[in-house]
Amino acid sequence: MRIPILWLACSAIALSLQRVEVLVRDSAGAPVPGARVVVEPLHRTVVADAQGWAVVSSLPAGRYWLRVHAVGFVPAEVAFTLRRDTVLTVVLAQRVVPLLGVAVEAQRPELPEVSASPLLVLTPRELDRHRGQSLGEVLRELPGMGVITTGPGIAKPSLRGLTGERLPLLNDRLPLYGQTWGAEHAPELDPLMVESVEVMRGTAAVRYGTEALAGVVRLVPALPGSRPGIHGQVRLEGFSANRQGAVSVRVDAVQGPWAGQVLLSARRAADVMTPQYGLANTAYEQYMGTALLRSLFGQTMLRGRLQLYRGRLGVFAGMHLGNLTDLERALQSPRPLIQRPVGYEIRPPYQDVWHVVSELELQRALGEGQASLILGWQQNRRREYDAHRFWSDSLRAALSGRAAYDVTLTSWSLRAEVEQPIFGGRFHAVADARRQGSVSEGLERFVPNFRSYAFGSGLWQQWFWQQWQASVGFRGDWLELAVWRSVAGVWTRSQRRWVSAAVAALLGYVERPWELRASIASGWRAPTAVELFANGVHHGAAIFEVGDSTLAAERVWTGELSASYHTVPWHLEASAFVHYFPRFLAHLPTGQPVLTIRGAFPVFRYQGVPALLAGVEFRSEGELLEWLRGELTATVLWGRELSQRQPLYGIPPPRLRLRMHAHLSSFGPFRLPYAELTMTAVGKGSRAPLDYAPPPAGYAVWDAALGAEFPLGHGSIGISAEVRNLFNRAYRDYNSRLRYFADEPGRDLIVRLRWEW
Amino acid sequence: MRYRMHLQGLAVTSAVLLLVGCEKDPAHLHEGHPQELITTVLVHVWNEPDSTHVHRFAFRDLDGPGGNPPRVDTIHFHGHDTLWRLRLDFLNEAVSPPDTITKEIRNEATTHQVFYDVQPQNLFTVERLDKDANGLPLGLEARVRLQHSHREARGSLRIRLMHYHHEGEKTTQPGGETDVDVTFPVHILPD
Repeated sequence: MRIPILWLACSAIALSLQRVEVLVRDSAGAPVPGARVVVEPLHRTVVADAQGWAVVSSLPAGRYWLRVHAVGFVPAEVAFTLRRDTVLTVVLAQRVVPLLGVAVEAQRPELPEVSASPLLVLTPRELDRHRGQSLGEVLRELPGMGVITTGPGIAKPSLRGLTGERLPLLNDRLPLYGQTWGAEHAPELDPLMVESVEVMRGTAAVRYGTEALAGVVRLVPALPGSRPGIHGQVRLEGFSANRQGAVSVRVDAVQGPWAGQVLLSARRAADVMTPQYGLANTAYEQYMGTALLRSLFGQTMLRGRLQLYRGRLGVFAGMHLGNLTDLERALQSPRPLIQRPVGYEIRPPYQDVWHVVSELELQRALGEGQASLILGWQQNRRREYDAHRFWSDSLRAALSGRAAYDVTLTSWSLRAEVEQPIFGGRFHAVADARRQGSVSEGLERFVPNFRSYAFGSGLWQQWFWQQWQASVGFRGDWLELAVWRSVAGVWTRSQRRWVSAAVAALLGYVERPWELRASIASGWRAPTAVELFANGVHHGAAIFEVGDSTLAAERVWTGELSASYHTVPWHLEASAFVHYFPRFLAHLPTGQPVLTIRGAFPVFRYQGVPALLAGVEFRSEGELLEWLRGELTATVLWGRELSQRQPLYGIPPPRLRLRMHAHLSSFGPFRLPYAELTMTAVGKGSRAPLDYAPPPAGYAVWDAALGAEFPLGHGSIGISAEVRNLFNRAYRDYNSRLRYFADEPGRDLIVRLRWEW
Repeated sequence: MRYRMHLQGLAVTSAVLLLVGCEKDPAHLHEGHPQELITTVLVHVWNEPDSTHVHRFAFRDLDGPGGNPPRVDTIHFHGHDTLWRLRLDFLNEAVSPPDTITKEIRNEATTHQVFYDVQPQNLFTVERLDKDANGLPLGLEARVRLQHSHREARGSLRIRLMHYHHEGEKTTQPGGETDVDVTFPVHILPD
C-alpha cells in the first residue's frame, strides 16, 4: 500500500509545551505554501506560509488529527498525540498520483474544555486579514461574540450578551485585571500584540474561576518559535477613516535552551469621520511594549514576561452631559451637538490608562501529563478627565490638572494547574489565589477603596469510551472583600465574605464526521465594589447610580447543546444555550429621581433579579470550488429579566455574516493571493425599560479585501487592503454607546503590510 | 552553585519587594481635593420701586448629589405690587469661607445664559435685564411682572444656567451644557 503521507518527525522541541509546527511538502521535497492545515476536533485552521510552515500554538495536551489539503494535492489526514512542542512533516501527494491509502491513526479526539460549544479560534492569518482598530472589533468575526464600543478606539468584548466581570480575558494564560466596571473601559492591549484569539463559550467557572460565567476569551500573543536564530517581524497599518497609523516591531532570538523576545507597538489616530460628519474628540493614541525571556531545563520551561501599556483615549465630546435635559436635547438632534474640525488633539473628556503586567510562568512535563505555575502582578491606573471647568481662579490653579477619576487597581495572582492521565481518563486540578487592592485619588470617588482576597480550587475528569466522552468537574471558591469609604465625613471600613461552588458536566458522542455534545454547568460571582457601594452621577449616561451593600452573589445555571459536522470541504457547527440566573445583578431604574443642583437624575439601583438568556449560534464553512470558499456565521440572542418580564438591556441584536473568499496558491510573483467580499447584516435590538431611545434600525454593511504575499530573501512580505463599510452607509449600532448621539464610522480603507524574516 | 542560588533568591525577593512597594494602601485615606461645586442658588427679590427690603430664597445642596436632599425655599411675592426685581447668586458653600461663583459667570458672560421658566405660564413673566458684550441676554438680573395680583396663586419657577462651549455657540436658545437646573415653588400672596 502506497502511503502518501510520511510522518517523518515528532520530536520534542519543548520550548512552549503546547505548540505544533507542521511542515507541508510535496513528494519532491518542495514546500507547499497555502496548504490548509486543520487541527481536529478543535477545527483550528492554519494556512502554510511561503516556506510550507503552519504553526498552531496554544494546544492543550491530548490526541488530535490533522487534515491537510491544498490545491492540486490529495487531501491527507494524520493523527498524533501532543504532549509537548512538536514538529510534524506532512508530505502531500500530487493529485495525479492515485490515492491508495491514507495513514490514519483511529484515535479518539480529546475535548480540551468542559463546555459543549466548540472552541472558537481566530488564527493568526484570519486575525491578520481582519485586524481592526481595536481588539474587540475583530472578535465580532466569531459567532456569539459582540463588542460594546465607545468610538473607534474603545471596544469592550462581550460574549452571548455578557461582558465585564462575567467574561474574563486571558492575556495568554494570565487573566487581564483591568477595571472592567465601566462600559467604556476597553481591554488594555493593542491589537497588534495579539496573534490569535481563542473563545471558550459557556460557563467555565470550574476551570477559570468565579467570573467565567459567559465563557473565556484568550488573547494569545506572538511567542518565540522553536527555530534557532534571530527572527523578526514589522507590521505597518493605516486607516483612512481617522487618519490612523500603527506600527509594531518584533524581534525573536532563539539560541539553545534560551529564547527572548522584544515587541513594541504604537498607534495614533485622529477624530473619526462618519459618512456625514466628524466625531469630535475621538482621537486616541496607544503604546505598548513586551519583553519576554524563556528558558528550558530538561522537561521544565521557565518564562518571564513584562508588559507595559499606555493609552490616551478621547471620549466623544457629544456624550458629555450636564443633566437629563441635555440628554433629551442631544437625542432630538439629528447631528451631534458638538462639532469641530477633525484633528489629532485629545481634549477632556479623555481616559489616560496605564497597565503593567509582570508574569513568571513555570511549566513541567510530568510523564503523559504536565504541570504549570503562573505568578502574575498587574497594576492598572485609570485616570478619566472630565470636561469640567473650574469656577474659581484659586481652584483652577490648584486642580486643573487633576483627573475626575483616578483609580489604581493592583492585582497579585497565582495559578497552579496539573493534568494527568489517571482514573481511566484525564484528570485536571487547578488552584487559584488572588489579592487585589484598589485606591481612588481623583476629584470624585465613584469607586470606593477596597482590598480583596480570593482562593479557589477546581477538579475535573475526562473519560473516553468508544465513541462516547464525558467530563465532570467541581470547584469551590472563597472571597473576602474589605471596603474603605467616607461615610458622612468619617473614614469607614466594611467587610463582606462569600463562599460558594461551581459544577460542570459534559457528555459527547463522536461518529465522524459528526460530533454531538451536551453540557450543564453552574457558576457564581460575588458582587463588585461598584455594585455594592456606587453612589454618584454617571455623567456619560446622565443617571445616578446607587449600589446595594447587602447584595448576595450572582448565580447562573447553563445548559448547552452542540452539533458539528466536519469533512475536508465542509464544516458546520451549531450551538444552542440557555443561561438561567436565579439572581442576576443589574442596575435597574427605581422610578424615583434624585434632585441635584443640576436637575433631576433618574436613579438606577443595583439589584439581584431572576433573568433568562438564551441563544443559537451557527457557523459553516465550505469549499465551493478549489479556489472559492464560502463562510456563514449567525447569532441570535434573547434575554429577559423575569421579575418584571422585560427585555434585558444591551443584548446584541441578531447578526449574520456571509463571506466569499477566493484564493490561489500563487499568481505570478505573489503567493497566496486572495480576495473576499463580506456582508454583515444586523437586526433591530430589543428596547429595554431603562433605555432612553428606541433601538436603531437594522443595517447591512459590505466589506471587501484583497491581499497576497511574496518572498523576500529568507522571509516574506504580506500586503493587504480592506475597505470597510464599502458603500459609506450611515447607520447606528445597537451596542455602540454613541448610538444616541451619532452614526458609526463611514468608509474606512485599511492598508496592512507585514514583513517577516 | 550556592552563590548562584543565593543571587537568584535575592533577585526574586528584590523584585517582589519592588512590586509591593508600588502598591498603594486602600486602608489609608488618600486626601481628596476640595470639591468644586455649585451648592447654592440664592434668589434675591425686592419690590422694584423699593430696594430697601430684599428677600433671599435659597436652593441649597451642601453635600452635593446624593446624600441629604436639597433644601428648597418657596419664593413669596406679595400681590400688592406687580413689579418685582430679581438677582441671582451662585455659591459654593462646601468650602470655608463660601466661594462666590457669580463673578466668574459675569466675567464669562458671552458663554453663559440664565433661562427662566414659569409654571403655570400665566402666573408671571420674567424679563432678563442684563446682557453680554454681544448684546445677548445674560439673565443674572431680571424683572418679574405678576399677572394676577388680586388673588392667591401657586406655581413654580425653573432657573437654568447654561454654559456654551464657545462664544459663537451662544444664541437666545438653550445650548451647550447645563450647569444649574433648579426649580423653586412660588407662592403669590393676595393683595
